[in-house]
Amino acid sequence: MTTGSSVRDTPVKSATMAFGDSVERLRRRRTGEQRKRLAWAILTPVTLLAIWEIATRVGVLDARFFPPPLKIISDSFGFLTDPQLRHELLHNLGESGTRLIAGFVIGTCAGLAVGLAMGLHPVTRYALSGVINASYPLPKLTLFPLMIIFFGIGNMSMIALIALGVFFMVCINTTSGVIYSSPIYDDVARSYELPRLVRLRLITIPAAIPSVISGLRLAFGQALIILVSTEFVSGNGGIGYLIWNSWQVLDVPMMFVGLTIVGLTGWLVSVGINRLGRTLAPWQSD
Amino acid sequence: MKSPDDPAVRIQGLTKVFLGRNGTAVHALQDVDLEVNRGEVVAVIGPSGCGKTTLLRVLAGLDTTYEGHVQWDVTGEPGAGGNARSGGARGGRAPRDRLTSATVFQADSTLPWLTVERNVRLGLCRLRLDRRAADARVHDVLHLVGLRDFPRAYPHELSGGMRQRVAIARALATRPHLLLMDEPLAALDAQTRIVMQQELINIWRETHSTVVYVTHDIEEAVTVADRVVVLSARPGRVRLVRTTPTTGASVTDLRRERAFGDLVVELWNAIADEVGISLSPAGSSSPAGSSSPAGPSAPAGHASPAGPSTKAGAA
Repeated sequence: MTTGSSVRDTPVKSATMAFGDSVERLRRRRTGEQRKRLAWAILTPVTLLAIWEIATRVGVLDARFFPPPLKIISDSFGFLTDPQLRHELLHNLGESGTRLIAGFVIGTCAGLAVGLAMGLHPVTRYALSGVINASYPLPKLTLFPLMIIFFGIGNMSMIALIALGVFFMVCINTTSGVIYSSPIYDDVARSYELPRLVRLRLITIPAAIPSVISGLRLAFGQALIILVSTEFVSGNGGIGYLIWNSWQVLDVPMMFVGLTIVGLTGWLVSVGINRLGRTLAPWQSD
Repeated sequence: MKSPDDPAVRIQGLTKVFLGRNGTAVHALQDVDLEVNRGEVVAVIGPSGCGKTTLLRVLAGLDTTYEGHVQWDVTGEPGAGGNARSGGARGGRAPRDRLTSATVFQADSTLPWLTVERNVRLGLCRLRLDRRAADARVHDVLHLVGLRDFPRAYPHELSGGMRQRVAIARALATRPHLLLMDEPLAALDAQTRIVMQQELINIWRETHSTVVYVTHDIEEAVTVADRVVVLSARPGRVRLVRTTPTTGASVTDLRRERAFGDLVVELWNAIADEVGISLSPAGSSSPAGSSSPAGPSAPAGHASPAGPSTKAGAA
């Protein structure tokens, strides 16, 4: 009895098993590829750090200016355990974080609004594109004195300059996202007589998303540059101040801690924005 | 006065000029006269670049800068559907459950951020349909185009032919009075194309749709249309209008009929003449080859003057 039924089941079962096998193989290949990518992504920096470590230990690099990575790591644990140093570090991080977030959010909102207006309304575009294209290439730091005149010395002028840099990037990318999206979407909207709001929500904005996302990515890089450079010159605290000040007093490990924090922030946010892009625009394969 | 016997679409002296980037004018259409009757399927063929797509865009209301007269009254009801795009009071009319016109574009026109289902539903946006009626329509058209199993798929997960079927489903779901199609089946594989031709013919018979169907495939034109219009090379004028044999045969059986083959050959000759191609079987002038003049021998040797048109003949 049992053998009879198992014989009857066999063809189907083996077929599904063969199918399952190939799916399993595909899955394994994909995870294998992911592991390989991760391994190489880690291996390269680790190798570079190892070369650095060895070069300072054997004296090729001057350990006063290039302290070996292991010493930097152990020192940074020291910053975390020493209450005064920890307080200083956290205080500076807080200062910078506030400026960065405030500037980025203000600049992004303004950039999205103006960019969308320029994309949707030709007259607005004609009116503003000259001004924007002329002022956009200016290195933003050259406008810092002007910002200080407008907003005074302190956080406000720095936030304003960050917002300005972010604004340009987001605005220009949003505009081009709206006007250079495929004309076929426009044809579809008109052909099916979509009401204006439906069109904005279901066609114009989604079509612009990939361009907006790349604008955000560029904008964040710009924001970090402006943040650190204004902090270099203004002496109002922050991660830029920390780096510059550590250099001035030759506290090189502290300087490297600052550099590492800025680098990691840029990297993590860039990864985050990429992920956001993949969630919002899954059809875009980049 | 309007009468139900008036043509659904009447085009008189339609001339369309494009201005190129450097200011040179390109003449796309010249004095095109064309009438499409209500419930009629008219196919437009012609050499590449003869303005077929332009003609369709004018009809769709997507191109409004032309000279001449384009008048349409597709529904046959006074006050509804007739040149409705030019505005006019629409209040007080019965709730619309059909769109005045819908277009299927040649290029991929699915929206990549919407699922198949929502792409189709998008077309229903302007219609007064309750949720259940809309759901039923979406379900029906997806079934019809063979995408029943993919309502939640995104276009980038589908093949090019499947995406085009989504676009066709979107147009059909609106049950348009005037259906405008621009090479709708060009992206489909040969088998699916034949199935879709039959499906379209069946739907049109059922819904009495008025259809303008642009294609470069002569056989397809003769298969799906009641009348075939041949446009000349640029600037496009109406060169030839032919009524197709109507036998009610299936898409495949139709190909066996003599009248079908004769018409395909006549239309091919008209197009070939437009672009200055003459065909003869390689190495001989005997009448042996005349049984399949537009057959596989077509591209041999003579293809150089206009590649795309030769392809159209062989397709």
